[in-house]
Amino acid sequence: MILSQKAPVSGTTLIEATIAACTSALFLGSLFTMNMTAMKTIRTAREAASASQVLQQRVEAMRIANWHQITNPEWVSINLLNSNAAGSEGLKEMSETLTLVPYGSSTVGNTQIVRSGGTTAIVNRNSALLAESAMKMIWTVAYSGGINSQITTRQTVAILAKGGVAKW
Amino acid sequence: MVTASAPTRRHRLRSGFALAELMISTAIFSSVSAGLIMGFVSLKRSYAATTDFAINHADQMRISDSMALDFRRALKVDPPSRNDVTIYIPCYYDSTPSRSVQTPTLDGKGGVYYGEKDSSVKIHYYLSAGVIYRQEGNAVPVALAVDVQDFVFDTTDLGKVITTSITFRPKFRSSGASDEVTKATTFYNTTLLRNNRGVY
Amino acid sequence: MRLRPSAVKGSVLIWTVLTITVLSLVAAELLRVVSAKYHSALHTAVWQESLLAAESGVDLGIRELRKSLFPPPNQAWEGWSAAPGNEVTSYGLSTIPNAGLAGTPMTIEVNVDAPLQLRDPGNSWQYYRIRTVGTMPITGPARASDNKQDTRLRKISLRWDRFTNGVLTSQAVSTPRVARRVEAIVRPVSSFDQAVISLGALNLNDANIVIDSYDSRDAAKSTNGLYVLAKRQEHGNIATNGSLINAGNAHVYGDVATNSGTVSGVSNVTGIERTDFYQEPIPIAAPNWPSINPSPMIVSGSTNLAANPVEGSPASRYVLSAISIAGGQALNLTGNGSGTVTYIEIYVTGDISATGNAQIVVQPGVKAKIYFAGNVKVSGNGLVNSNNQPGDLLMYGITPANSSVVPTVELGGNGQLTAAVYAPDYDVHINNGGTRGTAFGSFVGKTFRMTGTTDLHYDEALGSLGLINSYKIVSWFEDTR
Repeated sequence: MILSQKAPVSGTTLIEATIAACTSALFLGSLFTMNMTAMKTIRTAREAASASQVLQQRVEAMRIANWHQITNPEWVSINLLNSNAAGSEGLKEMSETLTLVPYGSSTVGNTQIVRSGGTTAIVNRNSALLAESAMKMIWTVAYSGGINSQITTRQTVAILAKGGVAKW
Repeated sequence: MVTASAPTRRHRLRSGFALAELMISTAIFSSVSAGLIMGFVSLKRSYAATTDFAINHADQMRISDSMALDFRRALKVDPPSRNDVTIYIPCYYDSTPSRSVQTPTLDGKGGVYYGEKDSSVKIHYYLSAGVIYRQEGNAVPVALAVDVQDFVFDTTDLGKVITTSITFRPKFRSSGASDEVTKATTFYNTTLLRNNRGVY
Repeated sequence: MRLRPSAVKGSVLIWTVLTITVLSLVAAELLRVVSAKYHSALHTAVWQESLLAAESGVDLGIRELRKSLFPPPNQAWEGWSAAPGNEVTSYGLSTIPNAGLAGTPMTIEVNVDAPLQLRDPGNSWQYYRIRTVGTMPITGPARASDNKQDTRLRKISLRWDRFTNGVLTSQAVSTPRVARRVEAIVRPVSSFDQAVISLGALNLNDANIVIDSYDSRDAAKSTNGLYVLAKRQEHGNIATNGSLINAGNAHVYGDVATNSGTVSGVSNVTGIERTDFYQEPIPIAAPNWPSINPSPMIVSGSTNLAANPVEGSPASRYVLSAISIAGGQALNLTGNGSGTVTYIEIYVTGDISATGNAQIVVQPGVKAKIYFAGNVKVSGNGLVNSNNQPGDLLMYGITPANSSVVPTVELGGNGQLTAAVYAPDYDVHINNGGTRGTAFGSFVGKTFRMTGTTDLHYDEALGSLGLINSYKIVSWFEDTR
C-alpha cells in the first residue's frame, strides 16, 4: 500500500495571509477615508447650495425694496440684515457683507454693511448713493466650511438702477 | 499486502502545515474577511444614503429654481394652497415646433401681451404621493422632485412677493427621519413677481 | 490501494484582491455620484448668477431711457451703439470683473429697440423693448449634468451658445459658460400718473377731503368728458416719498402710498395702502425755443395771448418775464373762436400773480402749457379752464438753479380749479376757498397742501398726457429656449 503519493497541495500560508491582511487593512483605511471625503464633499455641495440660497434671497430683497430704502444703510441694517436669511442654518460662523458702489459714475465711495455673529454694523456709508442712477451691489457670504472646514467665501454681484427691475 | 515505504528525502521536502500555522492563518483570513465584508456593507449603505441625499439635494435645487423661474414671469398666480399652485405665464412662444417668439402687442391699457389677447400658459405645480409634478398646459405632468413632504407658500406685498419653502422627507435605511432632520432639509426661495406689477 | 492525489489550491490573497476590486468599483461609483452633485451645485450657482447679469442688463437699459428724459446734456446712450428707434437697436456691452464664483467676470449684453407696434397710437408714446443676455463662465469641469431634467432646466453652453447678440442663433464659444436671456418691455409713465404726488409731506389739512377719479375719454366713466358722481372711478391715487399727515377723515377712492411711514388718518381707502413708495421725478428745464412770438414780453394788465392751430409753431409760443394781474384784469388765452383745437405755450421766467378778481382764462378749444420759473400765486377768480378738461391746462415748474431755493405754487380762487401741475421742486398749495371747493386734475409738488377743497377728481386721461417722467416695466419674460 502506498500511503502517500505526490500530492501537489498548496494552502494558505501565514505569509500570504499576512500580506492579505495588510492589503485589506490598507484598503479599508483608504476606503473609509474616501468615504469621509465623500461626506465632506456632499456637505460642501450642500453648503454651496445654502450660500446660493442666502445670496439669492438677499438680492431679491434688494429688488423688492425701493431705491430710497436700499441706498439708506440704516434701513438696510434694520430691515434686511436684522436677521439671517432663511436657509442659512447649515452655514457655520456665517458673516454677510453688502457693499454698494456707484456704477457708471465719477462719484467715489461706497456703503458697506456687515452682519456677523448675529449683529449688524455699518462699516462705511456713501450718502450720495441716493442721487446716483445706478449702483453695483456686491453681496458676500463667508462661512466655515469646505473640505477642510476652512473659511469659504461666496460672492455675487448685480447692477441695480433707479427705476429698474423692482417692485415699483 | 501493504507495503509501507519509509519517507524518502524527496518526500521529506513536501511537508504539510503545522496546526498552529493553519490556525493563525485561518484567524487572519477570518478577520480580513470580516473586515472586508463590513466594509462592503458600510460602503453599500453609504452609497445608498449618499445617493439618496444627493438626489434629494438636486431635487431641492431643481424645484426651487423651476418655481422661481415661473413665478418671475407670472402674469397671475392663483391663491396658492399647501402643496398646490397654479401660475399663468405669457404666451411668449408660438405653437410651432421651433417655438418662435411672438410679437408683443399693446393692449390699450398700458400693458403688453404676446399672442392672442388675454391668453396665457397655465403652469400647475402639485404634490402627489411625495412627488412634485409640473404640468404645463395640457402636457403630461413631469415629476420634478421625489420624497417631498410638502411645499408651502407665503404671499406678501399684496401678492407681488412669494416665499416658497419646500421640505423633504429624507430616507434612512435604519430608521425614519426625526423632525429636526426633516426641518434641516427645508429649502427656501423668495421671488418677486416681475410681471405682476401694480399701478405705481 | 492507490490514493488519488487531489490538486487543491486556495489563496486568501486572491480572494482579498477580488473583494477589493469589487469594493473599489462601488467606491468609484460613490465618488462619481458625489463629484457629479458637487459640480452640479457649482453649475447651479453659476446659472443663478447669470440671471443677475441678465437683469442687470434690464436695469442698464432703463437707466439710459431715464437719462434721455433729463434736460440735455444728459449723456444718454453714451457708450452704446446708438439711441434706440424703430429699426434701430441700441447695443451695449458691459463686463463686471470678479462678479461670480471664483472671481469670474460677468458679461452683460443689452439690446434696446423701439418697434413700431409698440408705439401707442393714442399719444405716439413709445414703449421700448429691452433684450439682455447675461453670461457667466462655468466654474468647475465643463460637463453636462447627469440628470436630464437639470440639463433641460439649466442650459449650459459647453461648446455652443444658444444666443448671439440676443437672438436665438447658435455661436461657438471658446470657454464653457452659462447664458440667460431676458426680454422686458417698458412703458412711459406720465408726469400726471396719479392724482397727487408729493416728494415731501402730503398735507390734507384735516378737511375730510374726497379724492376719486374719472376718465374724460370714456363715456362709461364720465359724461361728455366731465366728472359725474354716478360714474366715479377708484383710481384717485395719492402718493408721497415722505409721509401723509393731517389726513383727517379723508376718503380716497384709490390707493394711498407713503415711504417708510404709516398711512395715518386716512380712514377710508378703497384701494391699497403702501408704505414703500419712492419715485424720483425728472427735473424740468427751461424751454429752449428757437423762435417765438416776439410780443408781449410781460403781462401786467388785461392781455390776450393768441393760441395757434399748429402746435409748437413760433406763433403759439410766448416768453414773458412775468404775469402780474389784479383787480378785474384778465389774461385770456384765446383760440380761434370756433372752439376748434388751438395750442399755446407760455414760458414765464419770473413770477405769476393773479390777485383780487383777476383771472387767467383758457378759452374754448385752447390747449395750454405754462412753464414757470418763479412763484405762482393765483387767487381771486383764479384759473378758468373753459374746456373743463385738466389736460388742456398743463403747468410745469422749472427746476431752480439754486437747489436751496424752494418756490411756491398757490392756486386758489372761487369754486373750481381744473389743471394739471407738475412742480416737483415747488411747495404746492391748492386753496379753492369757499366751502365747496373742487379741483379736477393732478398735482405734483415738493410738498403738497390742500385747504378749502373738499373734492379732488383725477382725470385718468392725464396718465397719457404731458411730459414723460419715467419708464416702468410692463412685461418681463425669461427666454428658456
